Amino acid sequence: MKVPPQIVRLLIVTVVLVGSYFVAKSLLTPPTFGELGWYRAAALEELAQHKLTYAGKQECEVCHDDIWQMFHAGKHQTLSCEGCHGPAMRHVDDPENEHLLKPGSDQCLRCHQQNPSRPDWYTQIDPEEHLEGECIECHIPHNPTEMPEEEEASSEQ
Amino acid sequence: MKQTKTNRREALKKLAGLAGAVAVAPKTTGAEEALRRYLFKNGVGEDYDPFDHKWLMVIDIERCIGCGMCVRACKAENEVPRDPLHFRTWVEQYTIKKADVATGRIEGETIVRSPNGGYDGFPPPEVPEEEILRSFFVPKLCNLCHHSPCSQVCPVGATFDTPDGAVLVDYEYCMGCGFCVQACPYGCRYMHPERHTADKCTLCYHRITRGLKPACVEVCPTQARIFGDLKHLGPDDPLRTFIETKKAQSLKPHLGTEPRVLYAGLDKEVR
Repeated sequence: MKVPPQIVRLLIVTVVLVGSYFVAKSLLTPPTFGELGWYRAAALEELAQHKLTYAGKQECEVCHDDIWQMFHAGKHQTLSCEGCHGPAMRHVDDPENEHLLKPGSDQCLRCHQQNPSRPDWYTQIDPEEHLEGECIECHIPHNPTEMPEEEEASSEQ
Repeated sequence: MKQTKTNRREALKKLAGLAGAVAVAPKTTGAEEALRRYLFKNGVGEDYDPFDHKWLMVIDIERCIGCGMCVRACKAENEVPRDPLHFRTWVEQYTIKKADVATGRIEGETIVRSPNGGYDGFPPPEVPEEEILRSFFVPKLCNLCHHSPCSQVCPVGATFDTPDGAVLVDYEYCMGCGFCVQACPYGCRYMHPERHTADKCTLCYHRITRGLKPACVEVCPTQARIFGDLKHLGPDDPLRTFIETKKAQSLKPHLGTEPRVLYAGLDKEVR
């Protein structure tokens, strides 16, 4: 049986076209593409390697156990240390040289300034009607219902 | 003449066979093999298995005080540009005015604002207090759609739903066409001005794979944001308590995106 030349030519053209599709696909598809879905599976691990900026509350307990105890006895216990003090990963890595913020009264008012949009259950103050001065003169930020004088008196005893 | 006909039929048969072989040829990777391959180490402890988690975030609007700490933490953690145009998460302040009695309506105008995305906190609404019917804050972020429109429109497969429930962008592979930015019905994507790729909330993928909470959940002072793993819900898990006790709903449910970010106390004005 002799295959006619036009069929041979058609076969060659088909093989070349299909072959070049697979060559192009293997060259252009990045490694791991399609292994988990229509994406590069290696991207998952790459994105997971991003560096941390916020260390997480549990890191603070390691060194600041005293504040941790007081903090968890008070009304501010649901707060994260890094919410007020800023991201702490650099401080965790190098506690001697990298220091965190000591927030001022503006940081207190960020949450506690009276605002009709805030829910009613939430403690809010009007800074003009509330007593003047810095918040920390009357409140220990780590346990806000306690007065700082009492703490100083008890530490002196 | 007859000979030629047979030959053509034979040749066509052979071609059909070749085409069939080509169609069957692409290899299929077994799920089990893939699973073993995608356990990855991430700094600490055990290997992270993306098939062993399903992350979920729930937001209690009644607890949000609009301090904007989540916005700050997100920008610092994920190197989001500090300008007031680019956010992975932001907070909106809704103020609904009292209706004029003469109009016979229940509610007046709704004012939504988000100065700098809430990065600097919120001043009281501009509407005088006596004119306010109700006012509240709504934190927004990627809704982690189960059927994500952004992944569907990506022409190159650079954005995708992970097995653990995040929707991520492959920055190495994204070509910056911006289709996904337009496709997202929640406006949660933006073009990164330096990287020139799409960018969005990754659910802090680098944190959750290390066993930490996302930065916004970590710093939230009132626990308005609760984050958890549907596949590992403990009996006292705050997420379980939330799902069992609150009536939570998603944004724009009619779109069928099935978000995995749920809101409790959602007002009808929130879109």
